[in-house]
Parts: sequence; structure tokens; C-alpha cells
Amino acid sequence: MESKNTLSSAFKISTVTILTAITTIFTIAVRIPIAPTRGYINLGDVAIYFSAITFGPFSALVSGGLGTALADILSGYSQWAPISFAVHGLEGLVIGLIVQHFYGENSSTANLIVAWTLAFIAGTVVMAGGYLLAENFIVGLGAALTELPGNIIQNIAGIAGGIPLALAIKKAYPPVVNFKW
Amino acid sequence: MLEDIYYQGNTFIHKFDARAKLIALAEFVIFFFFPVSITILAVFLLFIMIFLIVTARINSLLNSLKAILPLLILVLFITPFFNRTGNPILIISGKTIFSHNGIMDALRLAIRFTGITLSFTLYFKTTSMENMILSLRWFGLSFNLSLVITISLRYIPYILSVYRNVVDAHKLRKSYIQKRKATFITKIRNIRPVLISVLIYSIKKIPILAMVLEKKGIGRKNRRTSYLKLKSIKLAVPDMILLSILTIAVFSTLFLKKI
Repeated sequence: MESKNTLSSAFKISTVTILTAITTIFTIAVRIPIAPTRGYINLGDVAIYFSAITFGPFSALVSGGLGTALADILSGYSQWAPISFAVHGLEGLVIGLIVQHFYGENSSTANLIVAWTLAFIAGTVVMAGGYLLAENFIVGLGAALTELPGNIIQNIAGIAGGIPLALAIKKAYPPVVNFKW
Repeated sequence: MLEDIYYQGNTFIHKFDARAKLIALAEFVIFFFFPVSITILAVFLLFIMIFLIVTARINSLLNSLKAILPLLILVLFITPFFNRTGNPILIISGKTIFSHNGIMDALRLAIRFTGITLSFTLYFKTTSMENMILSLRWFGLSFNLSLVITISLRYIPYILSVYRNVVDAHKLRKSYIQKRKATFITKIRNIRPVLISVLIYSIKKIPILAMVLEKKGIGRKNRRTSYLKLKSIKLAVPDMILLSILTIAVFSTLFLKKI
């Protein structure tokens, strides 16, 4: 198995490619119904948290941005694609950098909790704040504010689903630790 | 999957140079933020609608409008409450509920949002994915990133079918049932084994895909050639001239007196 530092560019491309496809599918196809509003939340952010924790900040930057942008284009909301690309890409990068900085192989549980808490706060600020800012210009503050709770819930689902998935995958398929860069 | 987005056609806009179309899209989006009168914005929006009907049939227009309708209603309903200056239109117990400026703001935002949406629809309906990626590469997108887009578009249907197979397999064992009344945590817990299976299956494909890419010479330093090409700049000159005229027309609206 290749080590982290010697991953070829072909390997990096294939990692990002598969993660992009996963992010798109988690955004378009995997949806959980919410009873009160009869709406859905998608699991795009679960894929972003998972990618950032398991594969590092740069994989999450590209796959998070491209995956959600492709999901917007494929589901007929192409007008949001550039915003999704920027917001979710930045979200993945920030989460990945925080986790990488605070959580090493021999880190304590306290470090782990700090890393995940900071990652969640930063991810929510970047994602929900980014959309609020962009939507404020396009649809106005009123409509943008109505989207804010949904975006925060999406992020809660992201961390609630992303971390257990990352841990489960690491346990079920140990070679994945070598795919991080 | 992408066939649903691109509408095959032979119209003037389909044949228009993809690079020029990308610049035109950016101009259209910027235009809807211009501080010009609502009438000018509405006329421009009408032109985009006509172009969309001519190039990709009325269904494309209706589907796009249907997709944005809930947010559009929200914009028209909520925005007036955020600006109650100007001539009052509705007063209740001495308080201005709706004013002229608030209504105008709502209209402007609704036109802006519709205009941006339809501009993107027009672009995606009339530009094939190959031309889109080639034009992005012409503007400086790296080869590696364009490769990621191209291959992931081929992998999306594949992983999607894996996801559906896994869901069906779990349903057969009655281990995956999403009830609306179940709690959020239960729903997450139910979907977890499905996602783990899909992820492991997909991640195992990474080394295989990497090997295939290496066999195809990806990662080597020598200059790559491309089978697909955009039309040469010489052939695109008429399109570029038209784009320049369009640019002048769009930016000249800034100097028009308010209609």
C-alpha cells in the first residue's frame, strides 16, 4: 500500500473523483424525510465531513465543491452551482484543516472533542454564513434568512453522520488511512 | 444523466462558441445586479425567456420556473416587510405594512433571481458537457480538475446503482425502512449500514481507478494532446464580434435614463 507522502497524482485524482461522485449522490439521492415540514434534508454535508476527516482538507475542498456543484446542475438548480462550489469547497477545506491540526494518530479524547467541536462551528459558520451572504444578494435578506435554519440542520446532520461514518470506515477498511493527503 | 440537462439542437445559440457563451453568462448574471430600472430588467428577462423557448422548447422554461416558484413566492411575500419607506400602500392601525419601495424591491429581486436562473438554464441547455469543460480549460482550468469532473460524471450513475442495490438488499432483510414518523436519530441509524456498504464499495475502487489512470499516462509531465477541441479562434471571430456587441449593449443600459 502506498504511504501518505508518496501518493501519485493519478491516485490523488482517483480519490477526488470517487469522493466527488459520492458527494453528488449523497446530495441528490440520499435524503431523509423531516416529518414536521414534510421536507427532506440531503446528506451532502455528511459526505463533506466524512471526506474531510478521512481523506484530508484538499480532497474535501475539491470533492465538496465539485460534488455539490454537480448535484445542483444535475437536479436542475444550476444557478446555485457556483455558490455551492465555493461554499461547500471552503467548508470541506476548513473542516479538514481543523481536524488535521488538532487530531493526530496519538491524540487524546479531549483533543478529539475539541477538533470535532471546532470543525462543526467553523463548518456551520462557513456553510450557513456563506449561503446567507450569497442569497442575500440574489433573493434578499428576508428569503435568505428563511433558509438559514435548514442549512444549520444540514450541518448538524453532517457532523452527526460524518464522524460515525469516518470511524466505521476506518474500522471496516483499515487501508483507508493511507489514502489521506 | 446529463442528457436531461443538455438539449440537443442545431440553433444559433447551440452553435455559438462555448467560450463566448461562458462570458455572456457571466455578463447576464452581472447585468441583473445593475442599478437600472425594473422595466429594463424585465425586458431583458423576456428576451432570455424567448431565447430559451426557441432553443430548448417551452418545457425547459416551465421546469425552471416550477423549480424556483416556492422561493420566488417567498421573495415576493417577505421582501416588502424589510423596506417600508416611500409611499405607503397598505396601512393597518397607523403602521405601514406595504410601501411602494418595498414592493419595488421585491419585484427587482424576483426578476433578478428568475433572470439568473434562466440564464444558467439557457447556458446548460445549449452547451454540451464536452464543450463546457473544454471552454473552462481554455480559461485556465487545470487538466487534472477537468479529468476529475469528466470521470466523476461517469461514476455517478455507477455508484448510484450500487447505492440502490444496497438499499434493496437491506430492505429484503427488513433492516432498512425509513418511516416518516421515526425520530431523526432512528432515521440516521437506519441509513448508516447502507452508507457504510456504499462507501467501502466505492473507496475500494480508488486504487483500481488510479491504476487505470497511470496506465493511461496520467501524472506524466509531457504535454498532453486532446481528441476533442473547441473551434479555432479564427472560426470563432464572428461569435466574438457578436459577444462584443452584446457586451456594449448590456453595459450601455447603465447610461440609459430611467424609463
